[in-house]
Amino acid sequence: MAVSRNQLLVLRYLAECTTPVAGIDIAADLDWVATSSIYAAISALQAQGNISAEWDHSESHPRRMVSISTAGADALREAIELESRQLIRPRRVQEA
Amino acid sequence: MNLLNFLIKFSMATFALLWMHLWKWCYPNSSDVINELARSEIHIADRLVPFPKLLDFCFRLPSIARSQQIAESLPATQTRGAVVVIESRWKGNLREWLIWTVITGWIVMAISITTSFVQTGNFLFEYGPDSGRPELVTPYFKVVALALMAQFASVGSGLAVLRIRK
Repeated sequence: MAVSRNQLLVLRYLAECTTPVAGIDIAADLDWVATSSIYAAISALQAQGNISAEWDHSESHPRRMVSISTAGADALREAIELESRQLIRPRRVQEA
Repeated sequence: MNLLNFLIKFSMATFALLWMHLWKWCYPNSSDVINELARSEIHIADRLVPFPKLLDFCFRLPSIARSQQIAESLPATQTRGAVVVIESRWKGNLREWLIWTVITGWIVMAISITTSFVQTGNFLFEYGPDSGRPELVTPYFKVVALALMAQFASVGSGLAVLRIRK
């Protein structure tokens, strides 16, 4: 399944995390993207089954903690492969 | 200028709050996630959030609510520990359709009123040549009346269906 630019950004971020992270923390680290856009990407990824989520009630307000799923890791690998193929193609055209 | 700036930001934050509650009503299973996002994005009293940030919040909210509702509807993608209201997908779709119907109706009415003012210099009525009182109705009046009736009919029937078919 194709993922958008923001979804890919979130998947890449989550792939580097060892523990579940809150959406608000992802938005704080990826601060060049609007928080709402990050949340839209997280919800879309969750609906696709690319991330798994859990509510954390340990703080004053509940926080949704997300982590990458197996399907998400596969989707990320596919997206990276596709990206690298697209990067290689123009060089071949140039050589021809 | 500062007061104007404050009023614009305050109005936008108030609108964002109303917009948020509308989408929580539309897709109830997304309300926890929307609340979490709103806690960081909407501030009315202490510090007002920049206009572009609120605009992005309002723009992204429908897709967040829709996706979250879809995610919560399946056990495999559900957020663990969430309180899920089990309901058919058509209910959410119907509520969303009602929201867009009302928005479209308001856009049609606003365009008609503006066009009527630009073309005739009056809002939906024209002044009678002899009496000088508003007598003649511009063609845009009918468009506004139809848009209003369509909104009432669709919202009324939609809400009735939602209430009857529980």
